[in-house]
Amino acid sequence: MFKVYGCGTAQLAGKRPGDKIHLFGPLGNGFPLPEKDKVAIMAAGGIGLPPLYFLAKKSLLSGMMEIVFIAGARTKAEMLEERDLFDLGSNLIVCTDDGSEGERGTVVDILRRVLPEHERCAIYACGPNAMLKEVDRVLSERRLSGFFSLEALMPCGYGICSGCAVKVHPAPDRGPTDDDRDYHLKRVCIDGPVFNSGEVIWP
Amino acid sequence: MNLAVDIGRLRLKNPVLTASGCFSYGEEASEVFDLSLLGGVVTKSLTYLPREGHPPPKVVETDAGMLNAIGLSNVGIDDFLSDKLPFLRKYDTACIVSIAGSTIDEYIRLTERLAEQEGVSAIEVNISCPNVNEGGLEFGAYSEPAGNVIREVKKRFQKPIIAKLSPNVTDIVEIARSVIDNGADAISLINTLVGAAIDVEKRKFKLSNGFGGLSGPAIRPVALAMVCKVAAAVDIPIIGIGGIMNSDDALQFLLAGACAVEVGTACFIDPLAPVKIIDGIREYLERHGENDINDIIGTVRRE
Repeated sequence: MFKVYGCGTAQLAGKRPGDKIHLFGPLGNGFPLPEKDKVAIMAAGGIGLPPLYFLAKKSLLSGMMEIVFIAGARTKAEMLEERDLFDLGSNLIVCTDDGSEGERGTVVDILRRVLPEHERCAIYACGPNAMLKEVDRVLSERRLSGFFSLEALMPCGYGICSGCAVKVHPAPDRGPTDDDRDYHLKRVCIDGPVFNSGEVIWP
Repeated sequence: MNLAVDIGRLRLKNPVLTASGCFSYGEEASEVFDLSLLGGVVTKSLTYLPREGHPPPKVVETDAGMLNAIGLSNVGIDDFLSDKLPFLRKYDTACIVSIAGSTIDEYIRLTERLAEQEGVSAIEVNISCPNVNEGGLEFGAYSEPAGNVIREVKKRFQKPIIAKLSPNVTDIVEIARSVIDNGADAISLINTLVGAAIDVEKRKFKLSNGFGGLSGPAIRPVALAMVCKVAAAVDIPIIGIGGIMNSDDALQFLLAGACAVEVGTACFIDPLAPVKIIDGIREYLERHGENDINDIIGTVRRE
């Protein structure tokens, strides 16, 4: 599942069943599956819908009891059509910024409302950095932790170029460095794409 | 069929190396193929202390290439010697360590540490990084400081010294002569071309550093012409670098007079690119009835 973003994804979209493509992967880490006695709260915005859709599907297959899935997009047109493929009933909350589908509001608005309703929860978020930054703040206010999957432009995708690096908080025991930066860099492609809440220094 | 070439006293089993900064320290690609297939690995440039490098965004796609402003992110000499070098030594391939200093003293201290080590086949002296404020191009852009760095490194290291030259100069031949006069055993060229890209909607540079280094097929004709010029003027081994994506590209550099090539940006698209290039060179030699790669090197010269 992908979004046509540039010429590469446009070419991919032009492929027909039976066409051959080179695929290099899987790469990087993934989400840890939620513990079965927890409620999994999945906050998915726009481009972040497919990864959490697959996590939800996998969690359900592995016997996860309860999932609250918040599916957000700017408009109805950007909403994932396959969101109804699994039966979450009222635990699927759809929202759009302009109210053209589901509730009017952002994923973060809904998350703020949903969080107090659940005591033991595992939180997963995927979406644009601006959304993840807000989700991270909500979790930190409530002293909760969660997992964030990031997107980045990747020249190589397997760790050799450092082009997709994001800033994270440096380890407290970090020794002296040459350029005295107040951040440490991690590669989204193989150190991620999943990071812990509170780990990333958001742009 | 002989694919082995000599870079000074260093014999490479074949002429294909991975370019600095485009292969990290080899660990990631080793999960995809056997590094012993390579002529050699050129490591990410090392500084004495670890460096985080520039903040994101560090890369941007351009027409037929890419701009990067990584800013010499690297693990530093200590971690390299304790962690990365022992890993690379497990493979039967040349280990060429790239070094980058912000002062001549830093180049000296790096060289002294490497001189104590077994398993370092050669040093590639990066005097041409366009992405750091001090050092880098400050040395590589002028023949006198370029020569000074090479002389000090050469004094302290017995095995071959390769000077990596910048294309961002008025006359690359003059810089080449200076590093050779000061003891360089080989030269590699070119490093990236300084470039920039602006996001017109946001009205700001696409890279956090503003400027970056342009690499990829876009720079190949420039690199090839520079190799031709330098090959016509000097008498030491040349390693050709710049937008080499396949064996045809690599052969152009070899025919122009490079004894070996470094493959960089192509590794980002396909980790197997260097291996495919080696296979392609072998296939070319067979097809042309050649038994020794050295017989074709430098056979295309301008009148």
